[in-house]
Amino acid sequence: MTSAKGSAPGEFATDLEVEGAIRALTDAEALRLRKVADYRARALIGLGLGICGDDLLQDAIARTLDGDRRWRKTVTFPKHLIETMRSLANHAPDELKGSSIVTATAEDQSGYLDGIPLRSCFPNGERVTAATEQLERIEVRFADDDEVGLVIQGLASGMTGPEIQADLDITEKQYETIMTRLRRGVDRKEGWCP
Amino acid sequence: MRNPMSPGEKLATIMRALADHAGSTSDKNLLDEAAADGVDVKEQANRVRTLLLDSVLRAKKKRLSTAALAHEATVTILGSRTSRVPSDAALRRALLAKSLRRRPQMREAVVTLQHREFESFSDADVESALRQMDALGLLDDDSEQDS
Repeated sequence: MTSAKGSAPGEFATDLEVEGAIRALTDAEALRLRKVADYRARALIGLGLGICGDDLLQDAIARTLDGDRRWRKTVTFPKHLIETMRSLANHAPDELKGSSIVTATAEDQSGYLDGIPLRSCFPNGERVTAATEQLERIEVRFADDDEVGLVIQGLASGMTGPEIQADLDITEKQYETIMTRLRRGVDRKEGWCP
Repeated sequence: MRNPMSPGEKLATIMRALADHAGSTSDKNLLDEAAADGVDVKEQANRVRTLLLDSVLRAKKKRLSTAALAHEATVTILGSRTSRVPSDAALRRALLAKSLRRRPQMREAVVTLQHREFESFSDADVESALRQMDALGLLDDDSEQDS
């Protein structure tokens, strides 16, 4: 792999180093990548893109190797992949702002959106229904947990973590504990991958 | 005052927050949670590693395929260029002489490459020099004019 313009030799990982880093992933790191990819993919489903966590992971590797988002070795490999997936997922909805893309079928597209493979694009009606149903499932799951319910409300109204903490008058540690309950509850609703 | 979110945006916001949370949760907590939920961590981790290694292989194959296509295109172009070199030895010598008259700066380079004076070039030297000039696109105009 060649160096980017202005980069120091060895600053970016070679293909071989990427492969080595994949083989060296600990079980916890691999599990974390799996979870982060799934949540990012589910966020995109809410916005009309039907993709899996696997798609995001694969695309992050493809971008790493093709030079678009190379791995700068000053950060750990798992962190690089997590950041790459975040960036890919955050840019994808920008492309969806035009309703023509949202309502088009996958066959009409090139198969990719900002490098993310499109398994399917939901028409607006289906998108709203799918997202509403998913939200309802989450709310039902936590109907007996007021704290999680309030955090969901805060997030769903666009508040940040610190804003929610201030609003609910809870510590960061308490917020993290509530978020863990929310995350684990969502995890147990496994099996959602279009 | 924030704009009201659609159900999709709400879901996306919650999932992004969960992604950030999973990204910052300690290894121990992740492993403890997986064990409590009956997840086979080894199997899940191997699946992720295999998926990523497969992606590396696919990316490499794609790169090789792209390079092969580019090479094929170059060979095709070079193949078409050889037709600019005349088949007759006398015509080749005349074309080279004409080309070097038009580009005196090339004369020294060609002589250096063949390690002998231009006047004592063999037919093979002439053909070799022409092919090298052709590959550089220097015969594009010369071969189309009367020699």
